[in-house]
Amino acid sequence: MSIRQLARRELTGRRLVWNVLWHGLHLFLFAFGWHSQEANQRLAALNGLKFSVWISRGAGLALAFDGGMILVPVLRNLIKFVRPKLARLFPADENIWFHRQVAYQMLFWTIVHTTAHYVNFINVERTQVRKEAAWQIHYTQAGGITGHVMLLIMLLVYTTAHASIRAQCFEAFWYTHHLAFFFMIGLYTHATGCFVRDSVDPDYISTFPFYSTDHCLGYESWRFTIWAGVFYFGERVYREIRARRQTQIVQVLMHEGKAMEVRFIKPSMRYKAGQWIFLNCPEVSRFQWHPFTISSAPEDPFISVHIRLVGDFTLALGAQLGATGNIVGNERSSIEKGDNGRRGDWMEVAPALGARMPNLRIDGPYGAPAEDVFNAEVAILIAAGIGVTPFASILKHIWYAQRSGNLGALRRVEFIWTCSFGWIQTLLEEIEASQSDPNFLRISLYLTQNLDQDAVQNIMINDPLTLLRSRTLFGRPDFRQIFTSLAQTIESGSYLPGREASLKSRIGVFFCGPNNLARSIRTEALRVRSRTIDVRFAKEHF
Amino acid sequence: MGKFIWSDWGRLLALSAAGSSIWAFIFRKFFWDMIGGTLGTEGIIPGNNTKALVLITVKVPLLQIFTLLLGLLAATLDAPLPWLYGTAIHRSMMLRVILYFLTGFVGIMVYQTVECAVYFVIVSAVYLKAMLAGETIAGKTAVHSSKA
Repeated sequence: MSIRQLARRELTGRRLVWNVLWHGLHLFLFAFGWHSQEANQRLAALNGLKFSVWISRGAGLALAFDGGMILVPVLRNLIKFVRPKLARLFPADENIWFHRQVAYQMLFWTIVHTTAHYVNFINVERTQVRKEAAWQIHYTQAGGITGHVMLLIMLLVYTTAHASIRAQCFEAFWYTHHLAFFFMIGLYTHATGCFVRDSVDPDYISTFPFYSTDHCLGYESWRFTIWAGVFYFGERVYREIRARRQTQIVQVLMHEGKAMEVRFIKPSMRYKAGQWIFLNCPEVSRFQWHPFTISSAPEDPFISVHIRLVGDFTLALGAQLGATGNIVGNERSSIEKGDNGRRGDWMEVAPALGARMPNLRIDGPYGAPAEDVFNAEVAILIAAGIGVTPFASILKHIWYAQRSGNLGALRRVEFIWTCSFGWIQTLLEEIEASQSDPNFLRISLYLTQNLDQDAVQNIMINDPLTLLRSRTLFGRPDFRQIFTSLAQTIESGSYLPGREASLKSRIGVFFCGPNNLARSIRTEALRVRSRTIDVRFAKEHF
Repeated sequence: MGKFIWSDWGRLLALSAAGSSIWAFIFRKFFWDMIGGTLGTEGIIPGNNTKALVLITVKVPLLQIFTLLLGLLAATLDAPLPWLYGTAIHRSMMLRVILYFLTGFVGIMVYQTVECAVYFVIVSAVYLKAMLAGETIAGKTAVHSSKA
């Protein structure tokens, strides 16, 4: 992206508002911290250090804020709880993005703060405003020690969180990130050395917090920021306990395209369509938690996830569950045609004789935007590849809702899937067969797999691939065309008969797939917004 | 379970450490002056035992200049300059292990680059680990040109 494009993206619309508020808030905190130090008569001796101390204190206040905020976006259960209430106010599903924004601010202000303190301490030594040397403040006092430890932790955590490292070895990132525990301890105790004081020596006392606030005049910010840490710690403990509640695998099915479906029962878990879980299998790895979208509907008697056996964790998990060797095989055609389902495209697998099913730990469920599907009149579900999993759940859920007549505002559903394999087709077939209103659900499958002319002909004539009445198309969908023609048919009144022309029609676009595709679909979808059509875009995260 | 490539991480660490070396130019203070030194009214007065080192940090900021140059060298190696990409120098892990350890050794002598020095020693250790793990650094362009 060129600088010009970057500037245009950052300085228009919602991004502009965000940037002004976010950077403005940090600059305000910096300025306020600076002022409160400079104007404090009791800290006159310290103010003899001039700019360096004002800058370090200003940056310190900004850092206190960031230290409190850094854990907020990862309070997953809290976010799930407030999501439905506040979804319109802030994008609750962009939590990791926000976590990163806090981290960037933290890095910047840390550089400012630390640099200023290097100046402070050397000047304390040179002016002897306090009878101590710089190295003593750096390496023998609480503020210095915790500061240096936090810096080192930041070096390790930030570098392993780099996209390239996360992609090649997620565990290295995940485990290193747990150094945050010591980082937070360092943060909460950073001021216990009483560096900001009006007395000659630190005013230590024998009771908590072991320094007297009569003479130690720091921000006392730990009193506020520690709550995020307490909540996060509590949440992690709760997640461990909840994950250990009784869970039993009832069935494991192998589908085409290396997709393994694990069906389990967990009586203590309640979830909504489109939500996802973290899955852990102690027999495979004790500490690894991997996110998977739930593919069953809440109405189903079991909970299921579809797992593509492509990574080393998923392959090891498959091996534990009995999906080994030839069964995993290649894309398509690996499943022996049998009596399994009308299409004969799945088979049940089980662990080796005598071996029992491994334990499963489930952490979740966690929220996803697709819960909002019933708030729209027209729901456009777009999936790319394995991104179809949440929509499996949602389509089933819609199907159940349709049968019981609880569709909410929902009038029509468009489902667009670009794929090169297909276990979901059995499900689509069932749902399609049950449609009484031919207009309610329209399915468009786009096959991106490279097929030769004969194969295309074959599919065109008898469509053995999908066995669906719906259209199977080839190549990539033209989203501009799709949205434009949809908007035209809505405005002409032929898409939603009986629609009040004076009311806005709500279209919800729900997407699950790669980020760059998400951006272009979002752009195309929002283009058709008009006086009569309201479009919302939601993206599912992996 | 994913394959962790130590030299990839080492590269990111090296760039961070190289970034932190720019602080070298700020102060002229020998870090270890408290050994044999006394705390006077204008800071620590170094003792006779550290005179030589004080000379090359305070009188002539030689160590700081070294740190800056070594930091710059680290940056040219690990965010490689185009003409360095894929050369034997760029691909040498051994060079990095020695060079970065040396940078750490120089940096730890100066008040404000202790932090940077510790980072460089860590980078050196990470590259050593990468070397022992049998990793190699092969510039992408080098691979392409060898194919062509």
